[in-house]
Amino acid sequence: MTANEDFLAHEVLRSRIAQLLINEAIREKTFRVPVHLAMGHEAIAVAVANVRAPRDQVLLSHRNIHYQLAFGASLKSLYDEYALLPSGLAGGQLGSMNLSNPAAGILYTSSVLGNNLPVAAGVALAEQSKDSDAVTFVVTGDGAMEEGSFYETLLMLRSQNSRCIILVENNEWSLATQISERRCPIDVASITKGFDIAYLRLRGNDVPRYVDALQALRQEVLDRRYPAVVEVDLKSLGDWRMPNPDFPDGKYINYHAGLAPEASLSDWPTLRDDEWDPVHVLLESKNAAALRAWAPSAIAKMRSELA
Amino acid sequence: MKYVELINQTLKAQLQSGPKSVLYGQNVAAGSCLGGLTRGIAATKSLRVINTTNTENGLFGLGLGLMLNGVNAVFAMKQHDFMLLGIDQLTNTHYGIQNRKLTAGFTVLTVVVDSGFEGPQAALNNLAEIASIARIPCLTVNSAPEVEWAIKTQLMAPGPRIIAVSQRLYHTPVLTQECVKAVSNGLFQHDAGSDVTVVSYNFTLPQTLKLVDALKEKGRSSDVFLVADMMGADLAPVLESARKNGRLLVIDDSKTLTPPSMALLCDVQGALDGVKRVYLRRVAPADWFVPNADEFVLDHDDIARQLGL
Repeated sequence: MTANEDFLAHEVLRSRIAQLLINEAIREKTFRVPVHLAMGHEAIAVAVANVRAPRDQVLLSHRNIHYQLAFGASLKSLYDEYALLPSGLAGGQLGSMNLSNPAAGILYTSSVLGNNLPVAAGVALAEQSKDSDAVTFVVTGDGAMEEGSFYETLLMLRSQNSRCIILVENNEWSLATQISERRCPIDVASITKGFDIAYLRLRGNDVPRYVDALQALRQEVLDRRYPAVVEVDLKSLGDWRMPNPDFPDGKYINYHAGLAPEASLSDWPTLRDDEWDPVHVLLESKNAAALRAWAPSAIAKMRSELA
Repeated sequence: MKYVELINQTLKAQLQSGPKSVLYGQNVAAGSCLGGLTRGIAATKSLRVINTTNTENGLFGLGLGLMLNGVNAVFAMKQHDFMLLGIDQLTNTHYGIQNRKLTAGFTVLTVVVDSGFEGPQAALNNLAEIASIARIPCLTVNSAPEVEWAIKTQLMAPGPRIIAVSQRLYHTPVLTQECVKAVSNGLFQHDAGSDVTVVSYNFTLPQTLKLVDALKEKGRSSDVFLVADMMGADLAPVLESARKNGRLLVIDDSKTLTPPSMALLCDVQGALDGVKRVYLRRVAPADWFVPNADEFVLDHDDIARQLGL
């Protein structure tokens, strides 16, 4: 394992531990603002943070905690922001769903589905006007890409040959409806082909592989001066079964926001034992034993941060 | 010189000599260039000019993104109803960046379709409500002083705004009357007098000045104000004038049920005790929605009678 791979693995773990501690605070009803945890989304956020150049800027959506952490926010600064305290990451002025951090490269965040996409097109165009070699990243999801702004943004980006990478975090859910319940399938590969836009699909939560793929794509975007779409298959972890007389095994509840009632912090903070959990995937690394040994001390340290 | 020609020339000089900017919109550099509004404005080292796609919602976000990233943006549009498609960006994005320290501006330069012959589009001669929900400055230009002010001082000021021009006035000779007093906060005084205070909103300055001339023929003089920033102008000079003259006439051709001019009359009731008030505004007839000449005609004799002049 290289030093960078080791760093990436620790970042995934740090993100998961931080989110589980935030989940504990949600359980204690500490926050009045709605918080959308992103457990299961850590790998792509850590990869993007590792790939971006200093001038690159990122625009986020309502589920953004994984990027905040990957871009360097401390657990305490996030906790205080969600508690709307002046010591929060944005001075307690933005809460969770609209939390940006321009100093760290997170220029703009919007809670409105599809809203950040055209803004990203403007940010990317501004970089062109400045003759810079920055790439703009914008994060959206399989729900937001149903909005017209997604297609308008593809058209604007390609027409201006803007260097922008749209990251579609496809967790298959839009609040409480699955893709199969609400719409026809959308073949993003075909759509991007129609626009002559680069397309990449990622799955498996292998962060070093994500980094390599994103680095190559970023370079392609720079060299060819055009945008790209990355579709990332992932699952928002924290789903649970709610007791319900109509469902003998409990009614399945997909995790959307707020408390993940059955998710709790243990010495090894995995939530499921397959490729959909980025923490579980870390066990396949050569450094797994060291990571397992490190996790309890990291948990203790981060817990003390909030004490 | 025609109204649209003055705006075009002022815009061209400002954009081509100003800081790094992007002028964009559908057909801004093609065809008639929005009926001459953006004609001849070519790209320079600091100015990018883009004929855009027909993606209005996206184009509002584009401008806000340019502004957020430190580049001035001017989105010129042929018809103000395009703003309906960008209302998410104008409201939610603007709300989200309220506390940012911005270094660049985003101006929506729109033609208000107020000639009436467009039917439903003309019925939306109602910028006030868009500006109100977006909570951004909304500037209307009627005459040369406001053109100079809006384009030279506001176009690239940090933050977002709407600057609106009138389609009805497009090819009319631009009013060049010197202002008695041009107030920097968006309130312009076009004449001074002692019998009545006349306040013009939206695009009513031409009719207002004709009315004032008619009153002069009756030996009556007027303080004439134009509220060019309908959301943000400080109206204290208007109230002071009205108390001095004892008569206040407010004229507004906005097609809205909640015109900003109403605030002048409603929010300051105590301040206008003893002042005779006449309010001329649009009501909502069915013909707002069908093509017609739709002229906001002032009956000079009737107004003089209502004012007791």
